[in-house]
Amino acid sequence: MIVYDNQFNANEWFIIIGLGIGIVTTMILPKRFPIKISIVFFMCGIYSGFFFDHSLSVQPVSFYDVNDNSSYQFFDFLSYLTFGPFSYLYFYFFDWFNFKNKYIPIYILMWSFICLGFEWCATYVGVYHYQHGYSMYYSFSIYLLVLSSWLFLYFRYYGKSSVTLTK
Amino acid sequence: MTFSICMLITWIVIIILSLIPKRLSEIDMVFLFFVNTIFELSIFTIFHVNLKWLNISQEVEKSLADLMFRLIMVPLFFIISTNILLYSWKFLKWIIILAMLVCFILMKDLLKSLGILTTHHWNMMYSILMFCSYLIFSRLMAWFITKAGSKEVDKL
Repeated sequence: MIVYDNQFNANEWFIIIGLGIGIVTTMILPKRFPIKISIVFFMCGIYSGFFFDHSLSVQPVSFYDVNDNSSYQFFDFLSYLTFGPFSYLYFYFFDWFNFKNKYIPIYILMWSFICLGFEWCATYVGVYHYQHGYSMYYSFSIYLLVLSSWLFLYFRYYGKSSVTLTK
Repeated sequence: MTFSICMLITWIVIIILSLIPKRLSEIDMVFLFFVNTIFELSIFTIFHVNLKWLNISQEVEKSLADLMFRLIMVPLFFIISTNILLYSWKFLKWIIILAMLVCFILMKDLLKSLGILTTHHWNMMYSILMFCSYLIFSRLMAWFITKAGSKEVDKL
């Protein structure tokens, strides 16, 4: 097991503050989706975080470790929860601005840069520790793919008709 | 070969899910898929990384087969079980759940015999406990999401 740090410091505070701000923002924004859809949109980010972290940071090649050491800790779990407000806000603003189809790739690119910015901050404070040549730039292509696939969820379950979904 | 076997089993689970009568809506099942994956990954990672009771093969093919099992097959398996638990049948659904438990244990044995998984301090009782915890968690989450939706319908 690789140990990077043993103290409650910047990475833990970054997660707590980030999660706090994210949840408060999600709560105070005016309601836009039916509650069931909101929950799914929120969970979508957490699921994607788990999916990629548990496929890229496990055997056979662990490309990065999360937080203080390479084992699974409570703060690792909390760090995945921070993806929830991200996905919710992504859907929220997409719905709010009601983009024309031709602007969707720009919206996705913009959010990919936002995610990259947050990942840079998280790496700086010690949330992520890259290994085996992995860098943030690989994450960029993952963000583009993931954010594009999220819109499939939006159009499948909300964009089409919100009435049938509340049944 | 290992990957193909796991792929086939996963595909059979997908077929079963598409064929059975569903008691949950599509959006409920998407939610269940998300939370079941999160729960399964967390529990498995604790046993694998922290406790080291389960070890995954380092070979690329076998580890990919394991990932497919854990990221796709297991969450879908428990969406099926939750749908079955919601049936109005009295005894038959419990017999099916029992059969699913046997399948779950057999799948663990298959992973071991294919060399995907090696276990330390592990016995059948843990597999049964694991199955029960996934089953209860999935059922509780189904209750949560259907309640969340129904509250809004009541308000409307």
